[in-house]
Amino acid sequence: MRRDAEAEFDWWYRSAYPQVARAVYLIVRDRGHAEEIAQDAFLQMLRHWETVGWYEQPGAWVRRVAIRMAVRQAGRERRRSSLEFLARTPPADQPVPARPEVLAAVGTLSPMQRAAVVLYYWSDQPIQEIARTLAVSESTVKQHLFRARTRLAEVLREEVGEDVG
Amino acid sequence: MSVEDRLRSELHREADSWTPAVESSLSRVRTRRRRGQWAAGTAAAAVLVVVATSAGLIGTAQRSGPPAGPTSAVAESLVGRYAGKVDHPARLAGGWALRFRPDSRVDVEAPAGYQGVLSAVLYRTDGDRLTTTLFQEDVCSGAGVGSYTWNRTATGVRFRTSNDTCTAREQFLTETSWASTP
Repeated sequence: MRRDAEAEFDWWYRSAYPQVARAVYLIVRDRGHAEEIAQDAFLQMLRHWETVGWYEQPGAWVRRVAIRMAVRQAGRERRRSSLEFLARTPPADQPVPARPEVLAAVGTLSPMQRAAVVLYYWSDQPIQEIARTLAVSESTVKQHLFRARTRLAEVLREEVGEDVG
Repeated sequence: MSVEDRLRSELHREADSWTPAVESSLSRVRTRRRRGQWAAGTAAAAVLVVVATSAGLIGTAQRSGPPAGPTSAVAESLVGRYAGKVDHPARLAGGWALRFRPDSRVDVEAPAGYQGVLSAVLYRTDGDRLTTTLFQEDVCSGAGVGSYTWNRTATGVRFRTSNDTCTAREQFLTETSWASTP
């Protein structure tokens, strides 16, 4: 790689890596896995830098790649430990804690719902961008967010407030 | 507090509790890339490189020191210190100064008593386009970089928004009069 292209990639890595790694972490709930996934995404970026480096927002490109990897990883984890996920939601015949942890409740969501929640409520991304990131339609994103909020409200025993834009 | 407010608050709190190691991970990515390139090469080429390295004919490059500076020659003209009185957003109100350094870093001087995280701020320019991570570890936690256009004025510099999902950063940069200072 040419030295100036190398410097440009390094700049984008240093500027985008912390937020990409955090977004992945909020989805997969494991820092070690989050680091691996984020680095895998940036490795893809480095391999395709001759093309990606010309994009207006290379950071957005690598974030999309990382989020999709995180959703796939979360899906694998969910299938592998389905019993563990069920155990996180207290069965109906057991008492529910007065204020269940919000993040534990997010962990009960499906991977796509979890990703939509993270991108909407943490990254403050518009619906259009979330749809592009998750490779689904905008209406699908709204459905994911609606179902996620309803599910979280049930677990947290809260009222659902704002509508999703 | 509504579900949505609790979500935002807890997600931000959880994300902000972790500072990913940037330099070591960058080093790992580069190492993996080099390994991938080696694996894709021929065995003879690999042997030649190993032999040449052993004979001291090829040095092993160590990345160290500050990150490389802006790649555009025009970018040098943004280098300097600019001060301004911020009115919007209200949570950032007060006197601020931004020093754009030649090494792509921005030194941020906040009003006395400001408690936010203002370290490791980066910027790059490409002609009149500016990209920055300002406040990414602070009030813009969760947002990506902000993209702006910039131009010199008689007394300092002006920023205009190109693309930024962080309203606080947008207001901070575009609604403040930034004057050049020593």
